[in-house]
Amino acid sequence: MDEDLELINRAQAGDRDAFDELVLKYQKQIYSLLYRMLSDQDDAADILQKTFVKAFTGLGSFERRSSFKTWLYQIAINLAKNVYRDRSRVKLVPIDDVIIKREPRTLDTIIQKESRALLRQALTILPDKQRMTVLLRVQEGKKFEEIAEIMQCSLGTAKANYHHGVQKLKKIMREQNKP
Amino acid sequence: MKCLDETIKDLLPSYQHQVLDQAQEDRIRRHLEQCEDCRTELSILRMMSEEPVPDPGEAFWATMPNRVYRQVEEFRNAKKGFFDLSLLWNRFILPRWIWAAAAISVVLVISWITFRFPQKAPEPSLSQSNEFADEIMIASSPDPDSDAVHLSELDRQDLDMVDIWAGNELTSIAKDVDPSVVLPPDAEISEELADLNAGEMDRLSTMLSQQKEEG
Repeated sequence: MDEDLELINRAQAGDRDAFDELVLKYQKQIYSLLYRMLSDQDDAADILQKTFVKAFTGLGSFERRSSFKTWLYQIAINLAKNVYRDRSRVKLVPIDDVIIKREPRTLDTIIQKESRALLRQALTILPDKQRMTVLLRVQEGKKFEEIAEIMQCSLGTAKANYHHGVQKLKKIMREQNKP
Repeated sequence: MKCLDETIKDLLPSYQHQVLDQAQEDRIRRHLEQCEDCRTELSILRMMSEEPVPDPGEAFWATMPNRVYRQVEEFRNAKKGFFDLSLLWNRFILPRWIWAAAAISVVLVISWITFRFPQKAPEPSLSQSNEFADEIMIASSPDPDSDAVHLSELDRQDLDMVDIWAGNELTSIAKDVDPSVVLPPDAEISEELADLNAGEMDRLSTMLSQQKEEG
């Protein structure tokens, strides 16, 4: 963290190398989070760039109480929320118009892929806060304390969002797997 | 059956990431052997964490700092180009109590000025009214080349002065007036008009037509 603060100070003073180092250090983690949240490479790449731009143009408002990484996560999550909002306004395409590219598969891969597709779909049904909390906990391996800081909520709220989200996922998966 | 052990559920993601100590790991393993609900939950968590993230490629990662830097520079240049109102506003950011104190002070000063110096017009003196009356007399003369002042152009103070002058003049004149000259209230105006000569009649006619035009 101290290393990050030093890089931030140097970047603010106009040191281009420090700026590059901060981007290179965190870009893959933030991209991974954004891809899992948005399930779209282009959106994830676009929001990743916006996250860094917003961070560097707003360094003056970074209070340095939390780590730079947590601050980046906060910015990325807020921008991802905007994408969710924009998507909810987009008119849905009728399922008959969607062409699914099929690949030759074995029975195991079919079952595995079907389950993953189902899980991805179930995740999209969750409310934004629950979905983000579950992804931060499960895919990013964040502790609840960190999640509370990133999501700017209390520890209890972070835990409640996680448990409600996982319960809903289990319920959806069970119902779908019923014969 | 739904498991209500919140502690185990809190630790399941860490168990799946294999970041627990040996004692905690053993505890969860024993719990999983007898709890189907938690086994289902763990399988979902595994599936989620195994969800692959496509790599956009080395070129994407290598060029990202440059792309971000360019956009940040563009943003800063665009900001420099405009007059930053926020800087101006920041100059006026003061604690609320200072604004409140300033407002109260302004109200008190205005109240003090209003009550301390009431805006009362000075009483015109007799000599002033006489001088002014001379001007009015000149103005009301029929000479068109004179600097005539119409009564409607006078302000309130001037009219007061005229009033005082007229009061004084009439008091002195009234003593010298022959009561026989004063018209009885029932006198006919046509009798009076009959005494006027042609020039006076013309003048009266002009005045009446002017008044009619002015409405």
